[in-house]
Amino acid sequence: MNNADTDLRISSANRGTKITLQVDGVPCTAYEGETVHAALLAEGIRVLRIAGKTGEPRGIFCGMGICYECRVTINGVPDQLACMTLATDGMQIETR
Amino acid sequence: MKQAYDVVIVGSGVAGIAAANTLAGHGLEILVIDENPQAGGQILRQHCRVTDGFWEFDPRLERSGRTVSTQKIVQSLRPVPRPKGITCVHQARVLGIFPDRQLLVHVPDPLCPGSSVSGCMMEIDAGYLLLATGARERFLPFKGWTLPGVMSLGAAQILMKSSGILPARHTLIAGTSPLQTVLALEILKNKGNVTAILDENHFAKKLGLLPLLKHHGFLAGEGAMQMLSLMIRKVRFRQGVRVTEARGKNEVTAVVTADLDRKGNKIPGTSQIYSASALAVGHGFSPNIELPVQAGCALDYDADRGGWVVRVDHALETSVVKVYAAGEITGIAGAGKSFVEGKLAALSILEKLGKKTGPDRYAQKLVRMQKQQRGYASFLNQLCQVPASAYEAIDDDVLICRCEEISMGEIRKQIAKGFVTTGSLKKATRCGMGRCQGRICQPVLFDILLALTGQTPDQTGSPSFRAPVKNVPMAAFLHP
Repeated sequence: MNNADTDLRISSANRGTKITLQVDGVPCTAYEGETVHAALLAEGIRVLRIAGKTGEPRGIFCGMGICYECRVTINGVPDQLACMTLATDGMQIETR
Repeated sequence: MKQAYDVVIVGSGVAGIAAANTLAGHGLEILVIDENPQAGGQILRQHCRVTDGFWEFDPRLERSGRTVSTQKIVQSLRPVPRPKGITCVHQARVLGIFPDRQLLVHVPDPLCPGSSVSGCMMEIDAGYLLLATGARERFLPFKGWTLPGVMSLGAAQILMKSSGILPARHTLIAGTSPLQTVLALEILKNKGNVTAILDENHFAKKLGLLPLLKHHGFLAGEGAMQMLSLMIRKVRFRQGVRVTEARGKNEVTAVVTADLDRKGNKIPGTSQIYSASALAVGHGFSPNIELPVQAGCALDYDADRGGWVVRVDHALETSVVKVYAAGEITGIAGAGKSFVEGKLAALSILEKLGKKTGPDRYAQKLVRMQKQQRGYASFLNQLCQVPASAYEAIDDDVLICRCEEISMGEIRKQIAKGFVTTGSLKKATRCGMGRCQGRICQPVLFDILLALTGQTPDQTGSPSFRAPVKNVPMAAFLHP
């Protein structure tokens, strides 16, 4: 986690209700209306998975459901696109 | 959701919304399918947050008969109660289009009978089908473009527009796209920092393209105003510079650049290093042609329209009867063309169905507006275009296919062996067979093939796509 990059939430933006996600077993704050990928980024979580062959880290790339780089396990269902999923209270997210 | 609709529209961006509103009020059952959680596509995503109603554009937009700017389209959008006959389904993916316009659709959990976390499959019959699937960004790959923190220009904007979150405290912006300045202004508006804008285009190239903006003179002014406000905010702006490498262990921490000569070739010994926690980069746009190709629609290649585009007649009907296309998939030209084509396609369908749609004058105006967009399309696509030499110069250790992790070296090797068509190179390398099904690497691979072989687009061949065109869990097929 990069401290300089946390607190990326724009102060002037309208936010929904505060909610809590479980990311790799750790509670993480988010707001209704945020997509999972954005909520993770705001918490400084940038590595979402590891590429199979090279073992390289991967994160957000297209942000619009095209590149499949941001796939994570959500509520036990693997390979969900973090950028196309809205965060909901109590959502269980597993990266890597 | 029903099993059959008079008209099914795939995509609820500018073209899809314009079409749905034009079709409404004629007693038709219309289904709008979109894979995003909300309507609006990429341009209107911030303005379509309400999910219960619908949207319409101020009718004055088309009455003026003049070229429509993106800004005007955004400003003229307003929420309305959902018109009778329109059904919208979100987070649903059309996976295939079969004969007689039968659609295979993956729908999310809440719409499935019973319950299934993986969603379920539905077959839907479309009397008429309108494809408005939009566009994605394209890229010139460089070493380290897979590192977390390196993202598309659109991705950086989406984070801010959809979720109110900055891509990073300090963002470096690069590539060739007009999105660069738009993104920089958005970041500054939201109190983030722009490290620098590194534009690959030299000023002379941009100046040379200005005559193409015949009917869009205001856009040159708009661009100049954007540049001016960036200068006032003291944003560092460099032209004729290309990113050659993104460095970092688990995420990007530094970006290396090289200066370009007038032909777009790197000048040796000009490298510079920027410290960066995010790099937003893009090289223009590529139409989302997977579904039309799968449906059997003929394509045309036109670099001035963004590469392979769907062939349509004057009524926007594709080569497949009763299948229409509108917006970016018939040629990249921005929101103005999408708006006009969405309306025109809907009017064509209404005419075929024998529904009266008012005086011809209205349609004629739209056709004139559509024609005016062509100059802008050439401007936009030429501005974004990267010279062939840039593809030739990609180093062997650069990954081209991010999903299957195939390097430029492997691609060079297979091209040298004689795999010189889109189809054969895909089979020889697995490029485009990964999770994204070639959506990111296929346009790159095509440009690499043209650059390395000197073949024409027709010799190289258009891409093919089969159902399912998007990933879907097996459990969804098994759900009763």
